Amino acid sequence: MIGYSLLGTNDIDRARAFYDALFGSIGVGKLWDSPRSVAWGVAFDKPAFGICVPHDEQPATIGNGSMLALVQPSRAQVDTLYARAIELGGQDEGPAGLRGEEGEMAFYGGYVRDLDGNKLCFFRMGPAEA
Amino acid sequence: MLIGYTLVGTNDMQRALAFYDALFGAVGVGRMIELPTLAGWGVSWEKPIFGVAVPADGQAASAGNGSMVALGQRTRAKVRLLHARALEMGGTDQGAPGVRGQEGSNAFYAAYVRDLDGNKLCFYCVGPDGEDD
Repeated sequence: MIGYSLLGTNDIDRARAFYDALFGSIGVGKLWDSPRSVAWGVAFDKPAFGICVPHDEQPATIGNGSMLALVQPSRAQVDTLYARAIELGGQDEGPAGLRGEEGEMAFYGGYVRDLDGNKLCFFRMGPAEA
Repeated sequence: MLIGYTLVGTNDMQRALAFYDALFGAVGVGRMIELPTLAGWGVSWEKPIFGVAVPADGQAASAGNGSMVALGQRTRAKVRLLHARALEMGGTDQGAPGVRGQEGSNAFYAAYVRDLDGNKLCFYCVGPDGEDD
């Protein structure tokens, strides 16, 4: 159902560098790169994540309550993305770790804001890997 | 790495529930998550879920300028249906259904709205006009 999701930026070059370095750490590349919008993803038939310059030419702002959650195949990859985001200047919004109970439906997540203040979550559902 | 879910903020959860139930109900998509401060709609647990949430920080929800969630549809008819339903439910028009760019095998047919909290949504279908299901 979700085809892609965009977040606004006030500095597309800075945002492109941030997300290239962030997603590059787990081998995910760009799907498109245009002057006003850049997106990353694993394939065109999978949901893509993108940044854009607002259509109305007004400054980009963050939506309070808005959050994009990127599912990962392992807790280690959640740790990697969380650490990398902070290293790149992102803001900590909650360290990578278990939220709630351990078990089959365990939720392991890390929360950050990007350089424009947009909130992201990296997560994995399921038990701890062997 | 994929989108697992995406949340937009609301200042009135009951109103947002009614809006999105009616909107997604129009294309047969139901609610999958319902918590006091968060609700989500989707087709299965293996697919990305769209949700609305009361902000975690207790501050008012706001719409982010530049933020947009785009929901892919299999037919242009569904794009038209969702756009019409959203406006009927009190959403704001941000662009009528139609082809953006060139018609053809990779044509991008889209419509844009804002929900009752001002969050921007896009409904779209890529490809030529096909059979309506």
